[in-house]
Amino acid sequence: MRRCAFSLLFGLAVAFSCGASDWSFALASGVCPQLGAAYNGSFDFGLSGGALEILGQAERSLFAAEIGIESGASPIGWQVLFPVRGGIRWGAGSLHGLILAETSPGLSLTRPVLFMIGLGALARVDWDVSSDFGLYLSVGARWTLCPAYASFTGAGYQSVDIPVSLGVRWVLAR
Amino acid sequence: MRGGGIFAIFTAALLASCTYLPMDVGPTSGVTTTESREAIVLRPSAGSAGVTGLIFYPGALVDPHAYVAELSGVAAAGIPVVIAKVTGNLAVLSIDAGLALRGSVSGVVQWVIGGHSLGGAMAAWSVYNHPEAYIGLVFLAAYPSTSTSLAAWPHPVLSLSASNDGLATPQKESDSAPLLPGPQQTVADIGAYRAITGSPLTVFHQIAGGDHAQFGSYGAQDGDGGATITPAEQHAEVVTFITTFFQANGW
Repeated sequence: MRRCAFSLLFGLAVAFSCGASDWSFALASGVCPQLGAAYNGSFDFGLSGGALEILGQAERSLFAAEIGIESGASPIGWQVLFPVRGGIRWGAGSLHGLILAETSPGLSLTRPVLFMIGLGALARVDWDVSSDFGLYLSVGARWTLCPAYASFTGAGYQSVDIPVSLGVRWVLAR
Repeated sequence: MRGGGIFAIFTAALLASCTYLPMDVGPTSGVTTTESREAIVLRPSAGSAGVTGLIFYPGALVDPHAYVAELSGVAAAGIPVVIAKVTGNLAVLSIDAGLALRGSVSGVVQWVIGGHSLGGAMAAWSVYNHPEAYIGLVFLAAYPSTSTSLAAWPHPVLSLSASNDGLATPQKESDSAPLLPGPQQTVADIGAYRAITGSPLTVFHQIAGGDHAQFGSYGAQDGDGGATITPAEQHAEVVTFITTFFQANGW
């Protein structure tokens, strides 16, 4: 598992191809209940689902990026999303914040499997409890849709949710 | 090696959680359909709707739309139907979802709950937890667990099974009879049901040639027995028995 995480972060590092000295890399994992705000174009408040997420994070100065996997329940069953996020970071020291935009392609776990995608943004606070361990809390807004669902059910699926994530992060390299 | 094992387990879990999508949603003529994050509501579009509605839990990992075609027949007969959308399409994660849905149709003052397969078992569990919340129970290829016996529940139950069901087999259905209220009666056809003179609390009927998956519209299911009647024939028999169940009890 640790080897996979390092591979993920190595990929991030190559992608950014910057001097590694001021980058930090972390592995984060948390739970993500999703509060529903709108469903198929109408306001419809309720619990939309919940997920577990595993993220590889890279931060440098003002910039932050992360990729990962998020799996959990949605109003149409179960789903797996692969979030890709980028944004800015502010603050220094043990408590700092981030604003990230995201696109999350993924799969609805149905027979047959259907493509779905989420678009959104989130604000996150990282608290470094020690030099290599911390906690994070994020709140965001995400529009998720599964275009092909309507061709099977006669009813579309798009949802606006407020994902709230709470988890832990391990700093793997600075 | 350990990472590969975790990946294999994760992949197997994902594949095992795949939901059956509906094969045929329509037709829904004579029925008005509305949908929210929590439920699909079917109401008769003409004539007056009854004051007794049916809350329905789908089978495990079956999309709730897979019951729209069948239960539209019930709604068209004047019985409002609310198909619950349960967490992850597993009613075991939303056992009491029906309680919050009882206010979802204006004019309905009392509710019968029902479900298919695991959905029926969880409907029974909800009745066990909240015996005053419902006035009747409908099983489609389902039965209560031994820990949620409803033998002392004082309300009517309709239990529909299928002769070729490979999952909720006729033997399992028969073994579960002591968990349902008595007196009990088994009827061979709708004529026999309408001719009942007593007041059995539980009525059993086995659909000849039907199977497990054809209680919905989601294609073949692993482990099922294979039907020798068409989905439309099985659905028609289900609709006839449910509407007769409501009529027989004055709902």
